[in-house]
Amino acid sequence: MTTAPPRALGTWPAIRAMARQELRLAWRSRVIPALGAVMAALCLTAAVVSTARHRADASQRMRYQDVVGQQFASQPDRHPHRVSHYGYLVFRPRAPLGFLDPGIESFTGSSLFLEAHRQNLPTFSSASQGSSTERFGELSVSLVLQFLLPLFVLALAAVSITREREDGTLPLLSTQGASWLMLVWGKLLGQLLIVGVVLLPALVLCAAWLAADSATAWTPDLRQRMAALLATQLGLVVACAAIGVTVSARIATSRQALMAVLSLWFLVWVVLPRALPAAATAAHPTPARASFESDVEARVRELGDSHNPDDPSFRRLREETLARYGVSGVDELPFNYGGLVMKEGEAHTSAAYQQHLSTLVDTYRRQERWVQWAGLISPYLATRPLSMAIAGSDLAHQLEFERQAEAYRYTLIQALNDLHMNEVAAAADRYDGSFNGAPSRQRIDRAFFEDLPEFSYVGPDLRWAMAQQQIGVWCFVWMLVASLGALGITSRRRWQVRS
Amino acid sequence: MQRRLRLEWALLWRGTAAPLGLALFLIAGLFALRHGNTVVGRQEAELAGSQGRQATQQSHILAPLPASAIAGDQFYYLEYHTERHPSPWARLVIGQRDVQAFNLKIRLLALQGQLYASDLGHPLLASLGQFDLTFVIVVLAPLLLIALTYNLWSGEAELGTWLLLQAQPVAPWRVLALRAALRTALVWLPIVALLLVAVVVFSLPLDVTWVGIALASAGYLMAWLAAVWLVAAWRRPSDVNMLVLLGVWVFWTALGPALVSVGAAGRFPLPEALELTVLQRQGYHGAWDEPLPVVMQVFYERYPEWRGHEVPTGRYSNAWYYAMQERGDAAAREAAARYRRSLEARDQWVQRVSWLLPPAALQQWLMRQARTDLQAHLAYLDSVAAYHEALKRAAFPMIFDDRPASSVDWSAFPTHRHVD
Repeated sequence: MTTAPPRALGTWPAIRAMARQELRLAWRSRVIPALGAVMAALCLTAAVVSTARHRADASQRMRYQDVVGQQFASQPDRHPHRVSHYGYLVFRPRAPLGFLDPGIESFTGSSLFLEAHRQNLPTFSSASQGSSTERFGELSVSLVLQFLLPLFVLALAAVSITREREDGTLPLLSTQGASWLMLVWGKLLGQLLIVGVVLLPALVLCAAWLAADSATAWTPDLRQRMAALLATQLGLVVACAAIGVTVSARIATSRQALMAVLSLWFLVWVVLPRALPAAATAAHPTPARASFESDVEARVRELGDSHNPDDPSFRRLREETLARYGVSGVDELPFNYGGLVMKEGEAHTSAAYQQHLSTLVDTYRRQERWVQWAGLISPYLATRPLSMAIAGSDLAHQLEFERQAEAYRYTLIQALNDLHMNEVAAAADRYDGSFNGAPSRQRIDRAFFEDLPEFSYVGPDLRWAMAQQQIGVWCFVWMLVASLGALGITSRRRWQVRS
Repeated sequence: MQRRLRLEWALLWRGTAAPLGLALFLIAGLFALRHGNTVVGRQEAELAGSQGRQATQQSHILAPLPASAIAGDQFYYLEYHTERHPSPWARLVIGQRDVQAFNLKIRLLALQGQLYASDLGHPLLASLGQFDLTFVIVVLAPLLLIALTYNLWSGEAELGTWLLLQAQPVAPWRVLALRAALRTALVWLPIVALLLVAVVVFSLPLDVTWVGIALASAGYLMAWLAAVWLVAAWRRPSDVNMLVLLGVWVFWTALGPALVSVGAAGRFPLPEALELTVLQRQGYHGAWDEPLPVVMQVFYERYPEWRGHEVPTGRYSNAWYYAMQERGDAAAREAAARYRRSLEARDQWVQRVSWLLPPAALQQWLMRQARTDLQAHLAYLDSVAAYHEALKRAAFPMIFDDRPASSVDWSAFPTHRHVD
């Protein structure tokens, strides 16, 4: 069946000849092009559907973000603390490459309300609105390329040598001067060629589709992310092909080889990704929101309760302030003491929250490590965290968004508390005035609010994303080294002709 | 018949595949039961502590109050814990319980800002899915079935025993049917065994639901068996059968549901979620800049019984404050209702489409039985809304009459408990 390379060929040309032959054979079979076409069609469908959704989501959030910005800018004169409670509503922009790998985006909230005294959680996650079909994964390019394609590659590669062995063509090859090494590496290259040819039309169409999509701004960072994502994907395919060919070289029959790689796929792509989170949460339980918040409140009370007149921390603040200004009562201070209390209280709640948040994030990291380290034995789990990090749709990016939002919240509220201190007269800081027929404290000119900082999320770049995902990077490198190394060791054996 | 059954059994049990597959399946099932117990047990422990946390918070707020404090001022701080207790079956079907809130804390403020946060949890782990018994039944059981039956006919053909079989007095398809039935039973019985273990360990009732789950699993396996039979009737070699069945498995359990979820999100994009958030915020905060009578008018439309009660116009009053909160909810009410309708429409669409995919259909059906689906969550949110309403009605007399905090029996306020 296989035409052997002529004797004169060197190792590399022989490998290339083998690979070309593998491709020719695959092309002639009916199953492989058909499966390839299905894969390519899925890939394209996923790309079209996800970009449409990505665009709709992004424009919806941008529209509401604009509405919120305009509403904030067109406020009437207000008491600064009123504005602190009016707060700000931020919508998380979708991940830069979320249309290729949506990652955890469906499992985190999309809008976050920033207000005084408290740190809210993002609301409206798609998962909580859904009917649980999300659990099987959303149709995305990454699902097709990282979940399904490996199955295709593994199955294809697993029978690449066994089939020849069963057809009795291996002795022919060996007598024609091809070495076992040439065969093994030729098969690997052949599988990669097949995948390349099968997916190339889909990839070209996807690329054209993305290039035509003017809504995406192709910044240098986005280009780098795109290149890194492609490299990651390529690495996964190479590893799967190497594993498949190794199995094929070492196992006697196609049936057994197929059984072996299918079992591997089920174990590592289906069972392990579900079993590990279960084990990880059992080992490092996430606190429920209610206990988390009551822990934060307890800490706030330790630091000082601004609502309790006898609170030692606030009594100390009053005494120190009075001493510093050499006055005997807060009414004699050159600023509004109420604003200072607000400011101090905000510092307390924020400090307490940050403390407990860092514990929570620590728990998350520990949990995630289970999944990351499993990348040592699972190509899928070596690729997933990395791919999500590159796409900007992993937890690190979500937490970075929440961090920036919280930092903005703190700046905004403290700026408003400064206005409260300096622009609202203490004597007018009670509801004995009136505004438009409503009881009112002293309001300050709306122009003050126009000078307040605006929120703009600065998405981190690829280098940052990789620094957050070091374990993932190492596991990915290990996956490549281990799979190619196994193939290398296998290729040094002598001819394995008989089944 | 009995002799044939014995022979079939011997044929099956002689290989390593069946015992090994069954052992792994049972281990996976036990692990799943343990995991379901961990997740739901932790939620129950959390719920058990919520009344205590509420009491602690109350005492911290109310204990240091001076005698002059009025009750209406305290409602801003007081948090009322709601409890969504799981149904007994949630340990087997975690469903949506891990991504939906189960213990929202409610204040007397506008309701629409308080309903839609999820609980804490690592989103990556959530996205990978739960390893509960549902997963074992819906995703893993078909794999075992395929492993045991993919060479139903082709195995005989490849061994050359098919001709021999045809020469037997028994019709060959009867032999194959018996084999298929035996092997399907071999997958179903461990499921029943696991369900029985769950009954004993979690003290579940052996009731209609239990029988329903067992029968639904049997029906589900029959659907898979039908697929296996159809593929076998195609008379291809074993390898081809295996790959085709694998393709069916991938489509039914992974690709199909992924398409459904993308379809649902595309058809029902739910812009109302962001809209109602913006409207509620604008409605409430705008009320501070509106004439007091306008705000009170909105309030009286919903609570006409307070119309005659005097509300001071020249100063702050809690009556005015809570009327403004109602103003926020009123602004968002229509969008919230639309949001709710869209959610339900989306869920119904998913339910309908799921019937094309046996795994998705079974998953949805199990979630309905265990009350861990979207409908159950919406029912909980309704109960929270009703509770919020009851709290307001209990608090309004204190708010409108400016009663002193010391005169109020704070423990007499309604409590919330919702059982799925």
